[in-house]
Amino acid sequence: MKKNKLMKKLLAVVCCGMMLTGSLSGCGVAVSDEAKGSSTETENVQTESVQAENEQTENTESEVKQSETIVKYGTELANLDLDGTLHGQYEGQTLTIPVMSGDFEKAVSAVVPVFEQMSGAKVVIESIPGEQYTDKVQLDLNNTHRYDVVLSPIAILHGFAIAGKVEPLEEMINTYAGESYNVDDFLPGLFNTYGYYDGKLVAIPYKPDVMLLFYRKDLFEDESVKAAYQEKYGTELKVPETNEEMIQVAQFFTKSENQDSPVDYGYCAMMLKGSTRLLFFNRGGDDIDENLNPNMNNAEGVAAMNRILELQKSAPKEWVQMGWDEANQFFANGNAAMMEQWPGLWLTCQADGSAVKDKVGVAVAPGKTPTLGGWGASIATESKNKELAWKFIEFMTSRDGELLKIENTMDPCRASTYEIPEVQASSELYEALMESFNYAKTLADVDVPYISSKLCDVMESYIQQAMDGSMTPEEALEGMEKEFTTEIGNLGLED
Amino acid sequence: MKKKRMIQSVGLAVMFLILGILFVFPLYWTVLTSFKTSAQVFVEKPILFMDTLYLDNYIEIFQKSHVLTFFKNSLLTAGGTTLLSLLLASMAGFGLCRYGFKGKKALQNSILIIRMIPALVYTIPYYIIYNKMHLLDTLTGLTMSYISFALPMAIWLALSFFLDIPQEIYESAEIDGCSEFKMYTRIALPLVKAGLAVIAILVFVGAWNEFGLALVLQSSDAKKTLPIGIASMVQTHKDTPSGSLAAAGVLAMIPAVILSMATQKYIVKGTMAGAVKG
Repeated sequence: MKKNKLMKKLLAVVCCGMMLTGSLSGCGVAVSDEAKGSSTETENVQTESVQAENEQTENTESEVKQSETIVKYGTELANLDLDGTLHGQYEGQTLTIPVMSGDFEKAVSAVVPVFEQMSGAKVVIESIPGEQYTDKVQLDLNNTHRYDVVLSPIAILHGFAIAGKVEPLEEMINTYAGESYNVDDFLPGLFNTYGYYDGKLVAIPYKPDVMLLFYRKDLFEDESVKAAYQEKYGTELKVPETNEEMIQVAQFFTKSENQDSPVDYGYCAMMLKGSTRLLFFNRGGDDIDENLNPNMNNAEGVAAMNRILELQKSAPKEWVQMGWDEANQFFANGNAAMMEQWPGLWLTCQADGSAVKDKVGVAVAPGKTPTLGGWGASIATESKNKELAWKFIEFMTSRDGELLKIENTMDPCRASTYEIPEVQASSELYEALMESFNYAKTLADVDVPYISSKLCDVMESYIQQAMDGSMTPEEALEGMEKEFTTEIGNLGLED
Repeated sequence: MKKKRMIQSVGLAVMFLILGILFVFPLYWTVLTSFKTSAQVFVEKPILFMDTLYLDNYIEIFQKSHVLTFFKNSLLTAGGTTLLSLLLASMAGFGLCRYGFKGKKALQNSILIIRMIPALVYTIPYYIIYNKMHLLDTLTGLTMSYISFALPMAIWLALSFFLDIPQEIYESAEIDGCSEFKMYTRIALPLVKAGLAVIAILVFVGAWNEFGLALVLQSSDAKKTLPIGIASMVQTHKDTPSGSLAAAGVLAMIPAVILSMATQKYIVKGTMAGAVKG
């Protein structure tokens, strides 16, 4: 009897669900063409991984032989044993590595089987949701010391270095690196900014990131638009390279300034969630100098603030409420002629349903002071397997290792990798990306240990106040400088 | 008079309709989003009705993430927490109801005080202790921590339900020679069935949705729970996969909805218990 009642209730729940589903559609259920494509892709990947697993069961000798002939981007990965320094000698040792869920997890996981095969060691990957990543890594570095390799955003990594939580790497390179491991091959700006902190090499660049200018190629190449621009300004319409050119082009493409503009706005950017300072850096402003002194309250800072205020006139009013998704979608819906963003915008533009698919070009952010982001790899000071941890970092960041990570959106950090024609052809971003790395100097997160996020908030607050008119640019910069001085002074880093 | 009543009824109906929409619309929107393609999610004119339901998001979460493993882990931890909490709380509640002893009040109050301490305060100590006990990244460890959080509330609720049973029933049972254990299993438990259902729902939903502890204590994909799995779908500097998140959210709703519907009768009884004394 009771069973019947329970069954009736379950039936009622199922019926409710079906009714809801029915009311949602009133007709068919389907799988989109896009998903069909990706499902085939997944099947292929699964088949490949099954094949790989089957192959792994064969004898070690043939496995090594096989891994020696991996070809990526037309290049044979001939040095996976790191000049003979990996020959299964780490058998019995285990590395634990935290990674951010998603692309980082995929990229690191992709090199693990090959590394395990070459080194004999076991690698345990722990994936952590993005929002909580730094907190959990920090928790481990302070308390339980289970992690051997630390992959982290650069400013965070520098904080760990000051706190003595990650190991200086020069000694590691000198003692354990294979003879062909060439640090001079890393893009110079990237290696120095990412790697060195307080005079010590504390990280090896793993994932570079820089803000780029995305522009509507179709509009910039349109003859009638070009003629109208020529008529209005007496100069040729081209992708802006300077801040002044950018402001002028943005005005031209803004409906309120130019009724004939094919789009509503000349410019957009994400301004929510701590992104206004990125615009400040892109326009030529700075945060701190190499001695951790505030470096924003100067002529460059004032000019940068004024440029932001000028650009604001060509941007949608709601841009201060636009986060990553909203701003990207705004651009992908074809509402703006230009947008500055991290490289991830490219995927949104090229997605099915995007109004700007195949209509977008990429260039260095005008003014040539693009904000630099990125991740580095370090060794945890408390790691019990430092030598093995280094070998893993060396493996991931070696010339061959770089080619293994690219397909998981981890762009190359080595100049020689960008020179490979197949790599160049694999992404339309690489040309602008590589050029941008030469100019980028200011990190997205204020590079002061312990209080980086606090100082980022200070900058955000003052820039937003200047943007809403409650402060002049000069007042905002002065306030920013004062708070920076107090906060950094309170750290007592000189002691 | 009749007109006044009618106006009141219509007013109430409108108010309930508005409240209903406020509660139901987010659920409807989540279910709807779970059936949209990525191109349909972010559009300037929101799509409120759809001609075709696309299963892309469900296919994606089943193919590309370990959603079934996360679901199973959530079910095991929330189910285990619920069963063990019910057992321990009903015993503790019965004991506190039936026996008088020195320090009883203090014990009852201390249970309440434990409940008032935010869970976040325990997280780091748990992490350090579990690391030493090799309980990190285990479902047993996670279930144990959930039980410790659920018990204070469960004991207090159980105690209040046992106190509602008239004393005479216990006395009659004693006269008939019923042992304390039999009194607990044969007399008291059947009488507080409705209350236990309420406790079960509250404990289950609490454990099912818990995020902070699971985030810190679990690390491998094989041992993660659904809230952590869902959070892992969001990446920095990449578009939020709203459709997949919605699909995972719909899956996450199912057990709690089934449990609530199946025990609806008891919930009404349980929440009413204690309302009228005597």
